[in-house]
Amino acid sequence: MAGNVSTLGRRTTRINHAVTEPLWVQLSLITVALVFLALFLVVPLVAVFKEAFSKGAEVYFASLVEPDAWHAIKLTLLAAAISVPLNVIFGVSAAWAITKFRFRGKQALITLIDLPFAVSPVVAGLIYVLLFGAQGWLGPWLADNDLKIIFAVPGIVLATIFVTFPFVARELIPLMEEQGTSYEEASLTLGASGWQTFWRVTIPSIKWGLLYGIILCNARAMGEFGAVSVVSGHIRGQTNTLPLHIEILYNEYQFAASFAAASILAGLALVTLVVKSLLEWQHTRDREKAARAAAQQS
Amino acid sequence: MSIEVKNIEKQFGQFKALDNVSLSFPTGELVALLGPSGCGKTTLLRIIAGLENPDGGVVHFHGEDATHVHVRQRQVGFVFQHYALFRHMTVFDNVAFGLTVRPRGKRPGKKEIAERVHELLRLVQLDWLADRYPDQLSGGQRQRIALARALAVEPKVLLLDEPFWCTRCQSAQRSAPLVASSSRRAAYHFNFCYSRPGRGDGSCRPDRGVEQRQN
Ligand SMILES: Nc1ncnc2c1ncn2[C@@H]1O[C@H](COP(=O)(O)OP(=O)(O)O)[C@@H](O)[C@H]1O
Ligand SMILES: [Mg+2]
Repeated sequence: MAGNVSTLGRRTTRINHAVTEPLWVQLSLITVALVFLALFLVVPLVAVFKEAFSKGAEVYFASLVEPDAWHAIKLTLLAAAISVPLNVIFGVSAAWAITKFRFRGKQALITLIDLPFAVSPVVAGLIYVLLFGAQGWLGPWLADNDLKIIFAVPGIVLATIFVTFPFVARELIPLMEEQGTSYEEASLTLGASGWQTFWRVTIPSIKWGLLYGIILCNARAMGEFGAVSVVSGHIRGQTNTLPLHIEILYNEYQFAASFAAASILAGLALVTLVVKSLLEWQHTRDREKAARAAAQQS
Repeated sequence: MSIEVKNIEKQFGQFKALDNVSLSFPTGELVALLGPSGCGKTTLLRIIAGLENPDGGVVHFHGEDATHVHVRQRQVGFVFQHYALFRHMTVFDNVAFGLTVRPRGKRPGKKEIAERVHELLRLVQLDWLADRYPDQLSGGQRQRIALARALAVEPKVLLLDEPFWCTRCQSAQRSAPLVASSSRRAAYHFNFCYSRPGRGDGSCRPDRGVEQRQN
């Protein structure tokens, strides 16, 4: 009988030698992948760090603790710290609603979630200017109430949220769709409440997808340029995020300082990847340990 | 606990899955629902369990109307067709789950839970698999773990969806109290509906088969 396929093959890390390709195919595929990686990822990354340290470590560190740079770093972290948790909540709720319930307008919701991928970030920024800017729809009201959104931190946070909101939801929807509702149903028949089911069954079973979504969301939140550039106004020491700061320095021919700031973003990316690999490694190791223990007993 | 379903209707869009189904299952009887694929056996079990709301009709447990009782309160053990074992938990944690989610006052202690889980695992003869994950089990083993998990909360009713679909004859015999070894009617899909307490005579043939027809 069919149907058991889904639970059989997945998550096995062992390679089945009976069905692998001939050696030369493997080697050439690996070579292509490595050359590609080297050309498009490793070389630029090395160049960033080389350029950053071109005037020595002293200049490097000086250009990072310089007040405007320091402020840009803090603002970038702040924007990520606000937008990532909000988008995690949004992403989990949206994925939950889309995959576990039947309702009208579901397809429309999925399309809407993709909107930030489809729309140019600059346009996204302009939408906020149109809404909240001095000449915008809500501009006069905001001015009367002494609220500042555009050319201020709230605008930057809003723009960041907009460009990053598909990441978590997009990562979770296929995963949760595949898992269906039977785990939750099993949990309910065993007497668990909805809350217990969510924390003990749903979240652990989407943990890896969720984590990956968070990592991507965070990377984008810290690196976003276009949308933030439109709403920020580039006020040094006030509304400059790290990517904007990098561009300003670069345009002023302060290459070492500019690349030093860029190396921070590159470093963040590397740290994210390392964290992700560590977690994945731990995850497989736990499983293998359990398998070995079980094999020894039997 | 006796179960009675009366005039159950269930519609999926234009499709009528259950049309005026009435059945009664006296206490202690092991009943098999037979019928071709797609005739609504799973749907009926889900309605009895409270996982699906009927469009019409009532479900009585022990003479009381349970139609609108939440799944959580129904005390129904359900073994899903694909078992739905929690993949991120070990076999032990799967079986213990129903006990560990009880409200604080009614939750047994750690030691008591462990004893109960091992007792159930011995019952399905898989005590040695306690530390494995569901992915590391065979289909028949998974099924027996799912059974142990459902029994852990001492349900008043046990519903097994297609208990034979993966079980070879041999392991069916070994899975002790519930699954009969009959493969005579292998062409049929069996769905068991079992109301506790069992008769304890070890012969686990259904007392009765109810044949469901395709609408
Ligand atoms: N969630 C659903 N949405 C639409 N149709 C469904 C749903 N669940 C079951 N059905 C339909 O109802 C009928 C009965 O299904 P089911 O109870 O699973 O049959 P059985 O278990 O007897 O094979 C089938 O034709 C199936 O396609
Ligand atoms: Mg079925």
